[in-house]
This record gives sequence, C-alpha cells and structure tokens, in this order.
Amino acid sequence: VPIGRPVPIEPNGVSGQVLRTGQPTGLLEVSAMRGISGDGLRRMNMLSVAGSPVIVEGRLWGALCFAWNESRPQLSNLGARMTGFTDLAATAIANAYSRAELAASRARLVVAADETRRQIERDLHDGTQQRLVSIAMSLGLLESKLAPNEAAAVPIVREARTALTLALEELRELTQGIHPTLLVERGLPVALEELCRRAGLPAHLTVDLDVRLPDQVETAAYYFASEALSNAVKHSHGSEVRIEVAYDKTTLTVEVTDDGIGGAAINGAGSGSGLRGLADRVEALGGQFTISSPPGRGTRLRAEIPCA
Amino acid sequence: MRVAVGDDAVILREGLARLLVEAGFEVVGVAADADELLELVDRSEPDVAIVDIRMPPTHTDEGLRAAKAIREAHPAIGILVLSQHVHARYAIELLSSGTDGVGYLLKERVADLDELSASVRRVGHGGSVLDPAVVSQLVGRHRQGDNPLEHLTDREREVLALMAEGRSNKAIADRLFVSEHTVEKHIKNIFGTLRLPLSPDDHRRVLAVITYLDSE
Repeated sequence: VPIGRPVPIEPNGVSGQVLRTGQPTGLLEVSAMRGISGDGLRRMNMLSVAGSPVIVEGRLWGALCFAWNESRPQLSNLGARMTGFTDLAATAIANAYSRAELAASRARLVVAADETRRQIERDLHDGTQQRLVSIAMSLGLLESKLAPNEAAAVPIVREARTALTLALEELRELTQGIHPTLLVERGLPVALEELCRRAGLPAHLTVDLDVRLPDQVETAAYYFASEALSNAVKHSHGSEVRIEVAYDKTTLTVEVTDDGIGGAAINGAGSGSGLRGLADRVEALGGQFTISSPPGRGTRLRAEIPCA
Repeated sequence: MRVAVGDDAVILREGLARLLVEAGFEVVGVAADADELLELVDRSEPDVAIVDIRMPPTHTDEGLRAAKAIREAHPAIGILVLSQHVHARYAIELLSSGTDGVGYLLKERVADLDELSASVRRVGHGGSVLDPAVVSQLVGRHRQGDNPLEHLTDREREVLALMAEGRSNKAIADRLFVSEHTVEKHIKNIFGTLRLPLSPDDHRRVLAVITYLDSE
C-alpha cells in the first residue's frame, strides 16, 4: 500500500470495528469481508486480518491493521505481539504530540510575554511618565512664580526638578529595555543601529536585511542582540563588539562577536543565566543558538531563527 | 511670539500652554492630534508649532509626520518636536530635510522655563535645537570623552560649516575656490575624524552637521 493512501473507515471493516469497540478485533477472515478495504486486501492476496487500537493519552487515536497471506498465521503470542507493537507506536505518537505541543506553547509564551511588555511600556508612557513630566512642569511654573523674598525656596524646587529628571531618565531606560518602540516603528536594522549607539563599547553593525520580518522574529533577534551586547559590555573585558545580521529568505542569522576574554558557557556561572535565556528565546521559535567562546579568544554568539 | 501646541495628553498640553504663557509667549491654540494641529496651524499661522511625537491614532511617530506636513505647507513656521524617548533616529529624520527652524527635545526639558523659552525662540528664528541626550548618543562623546571636532583641520571645519548651511558639494567648492573632488575628499576626512561609520552618505552628512551645530 503506498504511503499516504487514504483508506475509508467502513463500519464492518477492521478499523471500523476498532473505532466502535475500542478493542482488538481478533483474527478475521478476509473472504468474509465486504467493501472497499476487503477488496483491497484480496487484491493483495491477504487471507486474514486483525486490528488493534492505538491509545494515545487515554484516548482512542487510531487503529493498526495487520494482514497475513495465510488464513492462520503461525506465530506464537500473536495477540501480545500486536499489542506490544501498537503500544510502541502509541508512545511514539504521544511523544511527537507532546514535542509539538511543547514547541507551540513555548512560542505562545514568548509572544504573550512580548505582548505584555508592549502593554507595560504603553502604560508607563501614557501614565507614569506623563504624570512625572506634568509634575516637572508644575515645578517649573512654581519656580517662576516664587516671589523675590522666597529665594531660599528656589534651590529646593530645583532639587526636586533634578530628582524628577533623573527619575524620568531611569524610567526611560527601563521602558526601552522592556519594549523597544523603535523596533516596531522602524524595524530591526534601525533598532539595532540605535542599540549600538547606546552601547557601552564601540559596536559595529552590519545588516543585510531590507524587508520586515514577522514580529516575533524581529523581536527575538533584537533581544538576542541586545542581551548579547550587554553581556559583552559587562563580562567580556573586550574593546569592541561586532553585530552581523544576515537574511536568506528562510533564516535570519544574528551573530554577536566580541574580542574579550572568552570562556563563556551557556550553563556556566555569572553570565550563564542570561545566555540560557537567550537560547530559550531563540529555540522557542524553532531556531538554533550556538556559542563559541574559547578562553582568551573572544566570544561569538549566534542565533539562527527560521522565518518561514 | 505665537505658538501652537499639539499633544494628546491633556495634562501635558495644558501644562505646556501654561508654561508658554508664563514665559511670555502667546498660545494660539492647543490640539489633541496631528490633524487638529495641522488645522490649527493653517488657521492661525503661528511662529512655532510644538508637537508631541507620539499621538493618536497609532501612537508612534505622528508628530514627525505632522512636522513634515507643516514644513511643506508653511516653511517659515518653526517646529519643535517633543519626545519621551531619546531616539536619535527620529532626530535625524526630522533634521535631514533641513535643519532650519526645527528642534527635537526630550519632553521634560520644557519644565525649565529658561530652556523652554530659549528653544522656542531659537526654532522660531530659524535656528535648530537638538536635545543634549540625543547629541551625546549620536556623537558618542560620553564614551570617548573628547570633542572630535577639535581634530578637524581649519579647512575641514570650514567645509563642515558650509555643509551645515545646507550647501551642496558644488556650492561649497565654488565658495572655497577648489574642485568638487577636493570637497569630497575633505568630507570623507570629516566623516572619518568624527567617527561616523554609518552609511549612506546623506545620513552621515546630517550627523556631521548635527555634531557641528551642537558645538556652536
């Protein structure tokens, strides 16, 4: 039988019986069978047939049909062999299912987390940041209204305004870390360019990408570069960082290389948890994360993210 | 000087209007989004329009687009764009069509009445204003700790000053009685000295000019 050929489930056929009863059929005579599946079996010169239910996670998932070109197959423990094989198939199917389910749920978690971050940024921008700016404005106004005989109050008002400015600066850093608005508005190359400008080390950017990619791909690439860059600044003791981005219509590749001390390990101490997080984010999208960090010879982090 | 204000947050546009009045400006009106602002500007022809970069409907860069529209319809009106973020990219986009009468400031700077008046006046008189935080990001001076302009030759500085006036290579060449090729060479050196590795060239040109303007 060619792979992929659909066979109808007939009420009195083997799979039909399994579907109805949820039990193994026992050995059946092909000659007694009507319908398309019976004809098919006869064409293949099969004389006997049996079906066994495939149970995945407690639910009837399908049936395995066994057929023989003799009417009484001479095999010992036929029933046990069939059940054994069927259980094996069921386990493999269950594994494949949970792997797919896990991948999908990881991807959903990443998307949900990104959406939450976007919302937090928006709330901070429309709420807290605006209120703080408004307070700063009131203080500015207050300062201008202070009468000459209240000169002693001026430095206090200024102090409050300076503190507010610092709070706003911190908040700005925070919100951009939470969700880089520029990424959404102008795309990956521009956002990375800006990231490099803010970096604590000279950062050289090469981008070969002139299209917009799906949100989750751009976001993953951005956070990957951002986290890798900040790792390099914090831990590499290097003098510069190189970020290279390439796109070949199926895969987006981001590589971040420093000229520092190397020796970074994905599950190692120190920067380890950050690297683990990077790997998780990339792998959640079905991508690949690789690290090359020989002691004394810099660190190269590479993410390949599928875009199809 | 007559000023129009566009900001979708009522506390900020009212607050800003109050500060402007306090600083001696006449506020011709306030607007809650880009369309309203454009209408207001058309109707009342102010000297300066102050616009929040992030407004409805998309809350991204409406302010920039409004600035561009005002620029095209009323080239004489100064435009001051306010932002809560330090996005050098937006400053470049804003200044790349000409640095006359435009400015980009972080929002909280307006709380300083002196700074607010100085910026509005400067933009209103055709000058340009760029937030120090943006400049330091562009020039990277906070890292390198020196002023790269000091490393330019006198001739290169002259070329840069003419670039800042918006002159083309040809015009600069004519003015300095040298060939266009020589001007190109000078400009290449300027980009190198100012450590502006980003292409394309017009982008670097803006950056070079910004560096120059900031040092004035």
